[in-house]
Amino acid sequence: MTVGFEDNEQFVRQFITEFEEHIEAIEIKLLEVEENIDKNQSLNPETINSLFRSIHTIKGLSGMLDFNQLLDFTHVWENLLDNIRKNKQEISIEIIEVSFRGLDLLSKILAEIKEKRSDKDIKVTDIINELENIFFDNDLESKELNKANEYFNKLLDIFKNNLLDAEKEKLINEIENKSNIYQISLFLDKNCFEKDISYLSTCINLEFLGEIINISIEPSSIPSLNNFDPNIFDLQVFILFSTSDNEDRIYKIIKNREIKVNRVLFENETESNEDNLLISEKEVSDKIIDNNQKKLPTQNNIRVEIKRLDSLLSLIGEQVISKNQLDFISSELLDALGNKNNLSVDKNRLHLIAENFKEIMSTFSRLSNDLQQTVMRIRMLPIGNVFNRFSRVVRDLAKDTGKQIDLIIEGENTELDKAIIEEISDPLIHLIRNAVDHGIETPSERKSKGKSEKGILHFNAYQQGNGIVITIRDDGRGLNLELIKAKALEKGLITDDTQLSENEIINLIFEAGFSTSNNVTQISGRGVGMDVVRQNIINLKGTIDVETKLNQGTTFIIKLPLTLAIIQALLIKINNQTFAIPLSSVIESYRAKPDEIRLVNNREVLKLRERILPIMYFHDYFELEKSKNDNPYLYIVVIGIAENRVGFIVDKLVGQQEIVIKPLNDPLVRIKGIAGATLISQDVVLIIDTISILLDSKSYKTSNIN
Amino acid sequence: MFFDSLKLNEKEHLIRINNEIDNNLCLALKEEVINLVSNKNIFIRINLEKTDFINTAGIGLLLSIHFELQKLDGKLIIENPQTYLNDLFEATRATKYLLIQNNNEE
Repeated sequence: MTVGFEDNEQFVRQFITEFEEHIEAIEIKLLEVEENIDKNQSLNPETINSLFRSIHTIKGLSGMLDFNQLLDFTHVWENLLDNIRKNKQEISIEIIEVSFRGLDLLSKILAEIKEKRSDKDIKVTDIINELENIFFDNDLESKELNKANEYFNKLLDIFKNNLLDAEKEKLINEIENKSNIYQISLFLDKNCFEKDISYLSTCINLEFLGEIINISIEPSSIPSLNNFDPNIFDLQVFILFSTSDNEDRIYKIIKNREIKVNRVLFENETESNEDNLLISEKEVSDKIIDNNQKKLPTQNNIRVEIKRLDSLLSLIGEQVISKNQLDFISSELLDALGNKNNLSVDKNRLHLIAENFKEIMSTFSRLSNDLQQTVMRIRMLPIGNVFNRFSRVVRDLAKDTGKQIDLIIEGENTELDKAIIEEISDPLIHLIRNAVDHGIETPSERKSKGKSEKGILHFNAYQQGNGIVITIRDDGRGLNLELIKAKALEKGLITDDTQLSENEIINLIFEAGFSTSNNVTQISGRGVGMDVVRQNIINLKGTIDVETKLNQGTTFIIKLPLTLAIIQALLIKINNQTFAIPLSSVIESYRAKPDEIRLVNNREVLKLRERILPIMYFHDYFELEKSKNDNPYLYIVVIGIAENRVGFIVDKLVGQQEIVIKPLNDPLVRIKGIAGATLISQDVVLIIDTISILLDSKSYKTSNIN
Repeated sequence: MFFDSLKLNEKEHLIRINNEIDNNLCLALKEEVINLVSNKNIFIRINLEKTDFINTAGIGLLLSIHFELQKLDGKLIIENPQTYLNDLFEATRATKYLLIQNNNEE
């Protein structure tokens, strides 16, 4: 019976979380084992034990929650792993391949369960057959024999001693086919061989109903010759019979007053009659399936290290102390001030109170910062969670493309915000696909170039300032700049006389629909990808850069903030209103004289060092009136993504500050070019969405300026 | 006569049944076999060529004779049973014990 989600929602949610973790763990272990086999290394027994434990746990949990397909499947898998860990069977590539297919099925079942359905629609027979086929049991014969003997022991002696081998086999088959097994004892009176009520007809009718496995006469029931009296003798016959029908039918067929029918019960069978037959599967599922069934809300939780929670509690404790101290100061102050009509005040005492207050506020401020940091850290997860998933992706891609790839992962303990981790996965996978499909060459091609047949794919992550840097490097073909230029020309992105730096050429790959690949593979090549990758990274307030060398390889360098919730910002003023610009977008700030701004092709530009920088007023973008400004200088904030730069003129630079981003999700308050808001000294400060403005701006390409 | 009883050779004795085997024949047959056994004739053939019916007591008797002769290291052979009798022997699994020969097929 499928679990009722309304009743068990909490347990199902917990199950999903654990199931996800186990799937990840299984993948890691399988990859480990495969690597051991590839490299002819000895297998760490703990790896197999770990696999076994994961499957065993999933099996147990699925049983509790009636996910029966999952239960059946993991039961068989568990048996196989148990065999391996007990050295009854060796691990092999075949087992690994089947296990990976099993893993994919686990993911499929997880997705199904997450959709708030049962797992009953998932087909597991194929994988079960595969697992059973590779399951090797030395003791199978004796196991079967033991099982058979268990069955035979439940029979009357007359059958135990008289079954032929073929009959034994038939009996086992019938039992395993879930037929009812009956032992029929029949006294055939002298007339029962009369042709009109022939015993033979009875036998034939029984054969229609089921299967006669054995008929036996008990020798001890035959009197000795001297004692034989035909007038009182009735021949007793024993019939071992299997049928899916119940015994009432047998009584109807054997019209004999001296008949005994008893059903033999095997393995967890219980007596049942027709009335207690299970209702049909359809009826069960009809009961459970609710057309209005809602999707199970997405599990949005996080595992937190106990020590981080302890830190948090400790800080909160200290803050409570500070709060109490402030309360005391407050009382002291009131006391020192005395009656409001009292004009004389002890200044020394006030001074002392003020000093104490300042000290406590300093402590309070430190505690607030520490608290903030600790809570932020609770949201942090190691990027290894993402990298480890890539191992499987790379493995499968390598197999699909016939390439050999050595995957090196570094910096997996580098942490970043959970929200970012969740969003960065897809862009990174796309970059990996490109690296495998376009970057790394086939073994033969690599050999002809004097490279090792095995290509290298290197992931790294490290903290840099307030952000994190992720690099994906391959030692493959590298980007062909000539090819990129040619393609850009073909697509009309550039003209023949467009002057482009090497970086600008490389960045053309981020244009929508751009692909230099002539082959659209299942993996990549459609040109729908790099622009999406870049946009996703931009949405995370990050940047992406590329370094490449022909025939030596390509490196993608992604910079992301540690968290999306708190950022460093540059505060600026526009029309006496304070705005915040995320510092990650700010290249530099510059103070220019008005006459430094030139008009070229109807666009305002500034020559900044050797670079021509397009200029625009923030006022123009937000359609604000430019207030009269007596300042002889223009304050320009240069913002940029990769090679793209724009200088925005603001009224005033206020300073740098760490701010907490509050998103503006209400459609009524969503403003173009505004990423969110923050609170600074009781004032609401809008946070500028510089990246959108940059992309929106028609004049953002420096290459368009002649 | 229910049956003909004749010595085949030094070792074997033949009883040719002429009627259907019912309780009356059973009683007579039983007495004949007890007689033969007491005279150390323990290798007996019972020919059923002319028998078109046997009741349950008849099968029981045949089995009883078989076990008796077996005990004395003798043997019972059922000769040429008609098809219907063969079916009955088979249906009751008397064939597990009774040695049946069909000389007509030779």
